[in-house]
Amino acid sequence: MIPRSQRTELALLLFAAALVGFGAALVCLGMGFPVWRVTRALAVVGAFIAGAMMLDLADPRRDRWLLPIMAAISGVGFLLLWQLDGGSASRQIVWMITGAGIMVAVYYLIEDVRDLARLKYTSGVLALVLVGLTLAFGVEKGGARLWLAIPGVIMFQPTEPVKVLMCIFLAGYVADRRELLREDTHRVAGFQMPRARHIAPLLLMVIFALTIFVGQRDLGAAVLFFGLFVAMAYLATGRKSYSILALVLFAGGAVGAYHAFPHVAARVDMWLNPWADPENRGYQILQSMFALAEGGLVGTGFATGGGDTIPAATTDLIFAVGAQQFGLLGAVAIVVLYALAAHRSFSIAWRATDNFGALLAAALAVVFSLQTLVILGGVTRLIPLTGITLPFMSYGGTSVIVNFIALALLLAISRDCTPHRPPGEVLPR
Amino acid sequence: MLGLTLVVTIGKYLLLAGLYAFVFVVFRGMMGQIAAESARATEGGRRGRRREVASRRAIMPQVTTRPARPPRAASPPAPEPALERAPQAAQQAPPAREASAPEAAPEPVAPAETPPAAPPAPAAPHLRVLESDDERLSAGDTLPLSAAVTIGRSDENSVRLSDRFVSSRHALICLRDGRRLLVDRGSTNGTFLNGERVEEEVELHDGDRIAMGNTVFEYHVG
Repeated sequence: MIPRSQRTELALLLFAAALVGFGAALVCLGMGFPVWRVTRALAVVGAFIAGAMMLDLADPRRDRWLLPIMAAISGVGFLLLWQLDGGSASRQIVWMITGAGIMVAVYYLIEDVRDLARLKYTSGVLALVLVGLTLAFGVEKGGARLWLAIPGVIMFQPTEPVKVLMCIFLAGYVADRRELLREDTHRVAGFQMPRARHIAPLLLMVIFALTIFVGQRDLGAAVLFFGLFVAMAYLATGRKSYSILALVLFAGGAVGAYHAFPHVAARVDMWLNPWADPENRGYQILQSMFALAEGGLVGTGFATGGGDTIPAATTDLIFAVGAQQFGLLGAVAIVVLYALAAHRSFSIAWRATDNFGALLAAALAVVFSLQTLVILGGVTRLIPLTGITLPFMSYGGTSVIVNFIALALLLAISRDCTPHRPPGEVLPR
Repeated sequence: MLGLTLVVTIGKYLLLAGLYAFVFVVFRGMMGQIAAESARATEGGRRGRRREVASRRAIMPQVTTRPARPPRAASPPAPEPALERAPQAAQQAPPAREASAPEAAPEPVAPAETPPAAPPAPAAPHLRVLESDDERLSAGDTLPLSAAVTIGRSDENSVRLSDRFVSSRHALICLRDGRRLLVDRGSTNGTFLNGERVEEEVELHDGDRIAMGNTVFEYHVG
């Protein structure tokens, strides 16, 4: 007899599969595809179902809500991608299946998440090396040097793995020094600040990463990493003064970047007034706005075009396509799904039984939510648009695989939350 | 052609309805689980116990060693010698903890686990309790010191003292540049080192006496 929580998860996954299968049938009908191609969309959700079953073979005590939510998000994303670009969609299926396989492998390999804490410096150095290599040897695509390639072998976006590596580094470093950061403080200009020797390696690392990202023109990633750093400082110490200080720094940095880097200024100007240059620099954001407007309340439905005119429709701006086809109602449903996934991730962090696990889960949750927020805010013109992928929805091999790895880490941390462990395991140090 | 448009339009509404049904089911399920968990917590379940265990761990040296962890995990070197030197305490501790594992089982009172005749003598830096109001601490108990240990009356401290003359965030003992420092965190009644009130921070030496409220510790390097 399958335990109840496992049945709930399976039922939800099948629900998501039915939903996506129905949507796929509509796409086939509207686009004139043969009906058997519905299986392509089902393969995406199927990867999650197979993954869930294989995870249970290793250790069934884990979170039961994240996988169904991600399966639904991925499925809906795939339906949009499918109509936009058949070739990308085919590759996306391969990435999803590979990603699910890697998720299972990571979950099997990590016996105890705390073992990752020993790899904190390795991850930190690896992250910096990846970023440095991209800066030196990166391939430029669309005005930003984001790709690293070993010619003929592999080509990937280092920003994506660097996200997870930085999470591991920050969580490990901060977990070790939590009390030092919180208590061994002195007063600087009315703020309780940690002593330089505790915080310097952290600051150095973050400043280095940020400089490189700004140099790389990957502003989305820069914002993401800064946000992650601030969140970690607050989570570890519970001191609001750090957050306030960081916000002040951020405001100063933002103004400085606006004046120092023309590409930053261009982004902000296009956000404030896209009509200043509608054919060129303002084109992307305006097309996104048009798509949202055309969607209205309930959307135009599948196979009604849309997305053909939006630049980067399959990756960064896929949400605009979704909003056009499913309207405000569909867009809100997707946002709620992301919010539920974020809630679940933070909830795993909150229940984690040790500092490192809790901080790592929180870091991954922060990255996930912040990334979603930055791109959704950009697409809807709430904040300046910066190129960054929408987790599990955007097309992209590196993005999909790294998201699955992050998911595997969260699920592995959730194993520790079960009440079966002896109570002495709780809160070391 | 009109038929197709109609089917696609109806399909769109059905899909939206399905999407919302999915969101609703997931939302209700998640919230239901949280409600069930917090209900269990108020019955003295997981969360309630977690806090109690946390404070007990901080006080009981045996519990700070992590016997459930496999030895390959890089834990600080301190716990290993402690286990070797006090085999009787180490062997006694795990069964006692396993017995307390089932849900809502009452935790055994901390001092019951300590063999009063032979308190373990850790080789790592530690505090030895000389006097204490706290019924969970008795004279002669030792508290191992990690890189940073906070002392105070509130739950967030790594050493929690239920002593009404101790502030909620009273003191910190931390390692900085190889020196062990005693830092007063702005306590009301002060922290005393060998009878002198600590202004901000002071370095600790072997055999120093630390007093706060009605509690007196002695610092030992090894």
